[in-house]
Amino acid sequence: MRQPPPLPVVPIVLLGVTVAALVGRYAFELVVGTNEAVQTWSTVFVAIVLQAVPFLVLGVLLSAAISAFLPEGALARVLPRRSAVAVPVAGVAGGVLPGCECASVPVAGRMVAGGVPAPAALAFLLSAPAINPVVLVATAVAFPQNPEMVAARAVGGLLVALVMGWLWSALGRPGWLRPPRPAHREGGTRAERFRTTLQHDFLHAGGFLAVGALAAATLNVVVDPAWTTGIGGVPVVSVLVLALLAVVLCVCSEADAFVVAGLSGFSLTAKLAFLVVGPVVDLKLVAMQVGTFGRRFAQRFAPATFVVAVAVSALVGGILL
Amino acid sequence: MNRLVAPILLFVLGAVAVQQVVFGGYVDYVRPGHGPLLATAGGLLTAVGLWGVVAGLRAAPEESAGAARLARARVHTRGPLAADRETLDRLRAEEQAEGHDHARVPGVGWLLVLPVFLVLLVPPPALGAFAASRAGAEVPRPAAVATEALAGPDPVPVALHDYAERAAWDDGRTLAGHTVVLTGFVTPREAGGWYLSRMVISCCAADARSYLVEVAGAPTERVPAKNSWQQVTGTYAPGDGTHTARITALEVRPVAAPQDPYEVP
Repeated sequence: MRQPPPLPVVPIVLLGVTVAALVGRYAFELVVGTNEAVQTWSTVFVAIVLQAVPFLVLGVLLSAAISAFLPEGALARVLPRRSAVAVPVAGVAGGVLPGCECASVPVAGRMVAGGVPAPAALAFLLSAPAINPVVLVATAVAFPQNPEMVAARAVGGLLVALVMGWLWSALGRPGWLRPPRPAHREGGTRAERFRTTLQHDFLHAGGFLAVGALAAATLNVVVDPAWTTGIGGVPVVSVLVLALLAVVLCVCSEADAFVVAGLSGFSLTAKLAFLVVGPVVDLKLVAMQVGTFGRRFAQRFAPATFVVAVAVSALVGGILL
Repeated sequence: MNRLVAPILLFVLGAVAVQQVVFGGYVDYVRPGHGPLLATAGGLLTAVGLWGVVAGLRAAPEESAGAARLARARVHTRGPLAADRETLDRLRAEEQAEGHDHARVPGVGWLLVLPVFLVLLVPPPALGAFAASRAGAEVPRPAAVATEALAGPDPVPVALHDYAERAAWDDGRTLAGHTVVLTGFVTPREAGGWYLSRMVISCCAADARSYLVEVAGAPTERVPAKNSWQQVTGTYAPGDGTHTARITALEVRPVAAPQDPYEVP
């Protein structure tokens, strides 16, 4: 139980800043030179972080407000008690959060911490980035000749959220999910609780976002973009390939429609799989789930979501497209 | 003192976001329309950071988590000097609560220093020839090819991706008979010669698609420097592959890099 003395964080940070300012640039250039792959890697990494920051701020503003200003258990009381009904209510409610997946993770985390049943919070987590109006409008703009794509995406995204919510309430064990601890209720004003929760949730979720961005930038540079060519014609494989591509690329759900619309040779169903899988399973999202709900949760939830999302896309694509 | 670290980190992150928008560096990473959002988010983070610094300075020094931890570390847990069971249980609970103290920086949060370091010290350039050459010369399929006539008298400036789409997916029907002006950077061509190229982003550099137009014609005997920005005046020529674009250059001249390195669809 004996603890080492606390790290002198402030001197370490000051030292780090000084060293970085003095030699950072030269050390960086000495080690990697002007290697184009490394430059591309850092451009993509910085881009993913900058792109996500506003949505993350929106998400943590909401999560901090939930934790500080809503009385304990208020959200849980609003939702129907039976999870069979609470799941669809929370899933549809996800449609009003105008952000991408980075915003929904901290909010869902605070929902669970505030007493909302896990299946409902998870349905919200999955539906918010998939079916909000901004994303649907972007999809309509990217597919001007296939307006049915918008309907297919909305139906598919919502269906995945509901199925996963119900699956979790049927099969999930409480031990798998480690909910974020509630902010300290004792002591401190509400404003202070709001500030510390915001600060903590931003740095926590943001850190895991950076982990995901590191992985995505690395794969962006390492994986040959030509690997998808020639697969477009093969029926089942093409769906799986675009679903995997969505996991790897980590494109924000507001931009993914533009990316996949430009891929030639793939069927609409395969493109739908990209649009349905991307907002619910990608590297940065999985990293953030690990951070918020724990590794035992993410290693079960993410693969299951992937399978359900692919199956739902094939089904919805077969009927609507 | 330690409770100041997280607010300072928040402040620095927010300040970098604001700085990127104010000085315009952000267009190398995200689309220009993202600027107001980024500035707002950055402003909020700096404000919350400042608030935290003020609150942390005002807090009584004995609340310092470091001092409490130090005091706990001096308590014996076993041996003849061990504290009684009740005290130990209380300290253990305190310690666990503090392990999740919201005033501290979660370990993983330090990773956010990396993008700050990159942006401030070694700002990564906008995507260039390396990224452009990776996906091959085929022009991404447009949702709908623009069919309206080019605007303005010749020579008419055309967005590079617009030219490439009209050339590769509409057999250049709306380009024939015009003299166009394209602006882009140089990507060397493996089989000799070079492409005038441009990246198009919808949201950020992670979703960039590359558009390459092969430059042919008399003024192209010398390949200009990789990644240098050039303005090509020329006429449509059919590409040599399926869905590729090419231009017959009449004039090639170097230009300054544009304010926005990416084109927006």
